[in-house]
Order: sequence, then structure tokens, then C-alpha cells
Amino acid sequence: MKRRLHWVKISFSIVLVFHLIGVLLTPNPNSYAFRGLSSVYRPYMDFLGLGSTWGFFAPEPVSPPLYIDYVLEQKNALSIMGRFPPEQNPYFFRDRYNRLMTLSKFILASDENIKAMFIAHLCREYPNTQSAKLWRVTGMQPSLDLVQRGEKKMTDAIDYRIEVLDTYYCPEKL
Amino acid sequence: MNTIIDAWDRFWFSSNREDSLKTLAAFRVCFCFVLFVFYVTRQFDVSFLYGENGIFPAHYAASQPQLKYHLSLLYFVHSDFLLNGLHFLLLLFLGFSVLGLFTRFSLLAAYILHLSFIHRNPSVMFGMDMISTFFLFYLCFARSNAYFSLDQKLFKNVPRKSTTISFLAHRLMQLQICVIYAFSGMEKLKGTRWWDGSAMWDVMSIGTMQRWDMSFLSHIPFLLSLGGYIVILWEIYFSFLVWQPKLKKYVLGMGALMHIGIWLFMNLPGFGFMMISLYILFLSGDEISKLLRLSDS
Repeated sequence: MKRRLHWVKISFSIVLVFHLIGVLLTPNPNSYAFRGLSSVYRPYMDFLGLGSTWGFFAPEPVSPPLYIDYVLEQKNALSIMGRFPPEQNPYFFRDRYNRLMTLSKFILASDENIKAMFIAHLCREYPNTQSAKLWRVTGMQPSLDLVQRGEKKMTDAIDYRIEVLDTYYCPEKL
Repeated sequence: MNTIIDAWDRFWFSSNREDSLKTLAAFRVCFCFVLFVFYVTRQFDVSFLYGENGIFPAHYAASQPQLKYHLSLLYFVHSDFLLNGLHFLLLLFLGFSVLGLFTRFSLLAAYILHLSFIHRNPSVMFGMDMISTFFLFYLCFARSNAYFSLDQKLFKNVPRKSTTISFLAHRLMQLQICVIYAFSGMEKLKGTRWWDGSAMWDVMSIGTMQRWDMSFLSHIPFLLSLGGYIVILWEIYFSFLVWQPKLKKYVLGMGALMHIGIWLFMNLPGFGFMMISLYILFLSGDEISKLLRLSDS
């Protein structure tokens, strides 16, 4: 009985060590240690949904909010303007809005995302759309120095940095 | 070498396992309740976020190389009605997990459905989704229905005896909390804003999240800097201090204050309450009984 217990513990320990190495290495995917073992641990951790990195409010505490401004040119010569996500939280539950803020950052991360996700979505939502002109809008928060000097208040309207992205055309087939 | 083997054996296999049952049960109730409320809010956006023709179309998601191992049941779902039904099922199983009804099965089903949703569209995933995956996964292995469960009331045969796997799951959950805080703390050390002491200002002044005008804080930058440094130190040393019986309540108390602060100042209630619910895993069965008596009186 004691001998059996001994082997049970050894078996569990082997599984534990394997799992713990994954738990400790995966949060730092750029390390040489993880890269060396990624062929084993990437599939294992990703499959179970455990392949996360941990860096809440880090390395920098916040990244500024990103919005996408758009003007849609319609077949009937009319234009539709909008901002995604809307500037103010329109929902009772704040978490719904946070997801949209996360989404806009993901979309703006690559031109491919913009086309396959955002443009495809707009063209589906507004079927008369021919093309869409987009801008990346970055919300700038008042700095500590500005508020200290009395030039701004923390709650003052956000300043925006606006950059033109491109004009995109709706695909023929959606 | 023997000392290390003894310590390993004590930590994983020889501690007071029966004490773990009440802790796991209390954790299951609180954690699943927070998740249930949090995911109710997602029900309104399921088609937009996860639909085959939603914002992250299925064919595009499937073409992403980084999502190679992200398996999801949702790839097989082609109607919005069914998709909404699956999300409703997730909520149902989370509800069952809160009540402790068919607990093991409900937790496993909730984990698989939860994983299917976050794997289908990681572009809308944030901290709470990631953390909840870990703890739902570990809870599937834990005997968490020995107390505070309908299983116990209805079926009366849930043994109040822990198992090796259940206790290992409890330990892994405790270690996971330490890993989350340690990495978050060490990552902050790379940030220039945390070093120059302005990080707390940045966090509180972020336009989309601020709730009140805290402009007066700009005149006491020392306080902001101090707050930032305390957060880093606390996160990094949490893993060492929380195991000290004399320090445990202060370490957890400070964490609870920090997360309540995040809730108040950044309007992130779900995340704050979930993190506080994780602290239950560090309480003993006796401490949970005392807390319950306190709340009764």
C-alpha cells in the first residue's frame, strides 16, 4: 500500500512539474527558455486556454484609447459618418464598452484586420456603401504637468490626435 | 536534496486536505457568481462579437496562425440563434456551478463553452477572460461541492473527504494567483511611468475610465508615486508573503483595497470582484466559517 502511494505521488509529481514549467514559462514568451520548449508548450497551453501573459497596467500603465472615425460613401451619393466605438459609454454595463475599446485596438493593429474585420462589417451593415474613408483617432489625456500648472483639469475634454488611414472599397462579395 | 523532497511532499500531498473542501466550495460560489454576472453583460453582443459574420468573421479567425491551437465549438455553429443559445447555456452552467448543482459536470461544461468563446474571438478578450479560464479549468478537478451545494442537499452522498487531485487543484490555483501578481509586478518594472512615479496619475486620468475629478492629486505627486511603488512591491512580494500566517490577512487585505480602488476609480467592478474572490483560496475552512458567522451576526 505504501509502495503504491509512493508511485502515485511520483506520477502526480511528474505531471505537476510538466504543468508548472508551462505556467511559469508561458507568461514570458520571448524568453530563450520558452522559445526552446515552445513546440511542446505552445500547443499544450493554448489548447487548454492557459497561454496567457500577465502584465496588468504594465509595462506602461495605460495605452491611450483608440477610435476609428469613418465616412461611408453610399451609392446614392449620400455619406454616413461615425466613430467606433462611440466616445461615451452608451451601455449600462461598463464591461460591454471595454470590450469595444479592446476591439478597436485590435482592429487598428494591422491593415489586414481593418479590411477583413472593420470594412467587411461596415459594408454588411450599410449595404449601399461603395467606399469608406478611415481615420485613426487617439485620445490624449491631460498630463500631470498640465494639471499641476492649472492649464487643464483631469476631467477636461480629451484632446485627439487624428491620422488619416486610407480609403477602402467594399468587396464585391461579402 | 531530502529537504527539497520533503518540502515538495508537504506542500502538494501531506497538508490538511480536508480543510480544503470548505475553501473550495466557498470559492466556487463566489467566483462563479462573479463570472455569471460578468458574462450576462456579454449576452447582448454575442452575434456581433462571435457570429460567423460578426466583427471577427469565422474564415478570418481560422486563417490566423497564432490561433492554430485555439479550438472552439463555435466554428461549427452557423446560426446566430444557436450561438446565442450556446452562450445562454454557458450562463446556465455557471448558474448551476454557483448553486452547486451537478457541480463537476456544470463546471466542465462551463469551462468548455467559456474556452470556445474566448478562442473564437481573442480580439475582445481582456484580463478577466484570461484569468477565469485558469480557475474554471482547475475547478473542474476540485471537489468543490462538499459544502454550500445543492448536490449535498439533494443527493446526500457527496463525500466530505478530499482527494489528491482535488487538493492539487487547490494548490495550483493558489500558485496561479502568485504567478499572475509576480509577473504583473515584474512587468511594471520595465515601464518608465512606473519608475518616474506618474503611473497612478495615468491610470486615474484615463479619459474613458475616470469617474471623478481628482485634479487635486497633481499637487501631491509624492502620494501618487508612493502608491505606484507600493503596488509594485506588493505584487512582486505577494508570492512570498501570502504564505506567512501572520502576514496573510494584511497581504490579502491590501489586495482587496487595491482592487476596490480599481473598481471605484476605473469603473472595473467585474475584474475587482473576481480578483477578490480568488483570495478565498488562501483562507482555511475555519476562517471561512468565522467569516460566515460574522456576516450572520
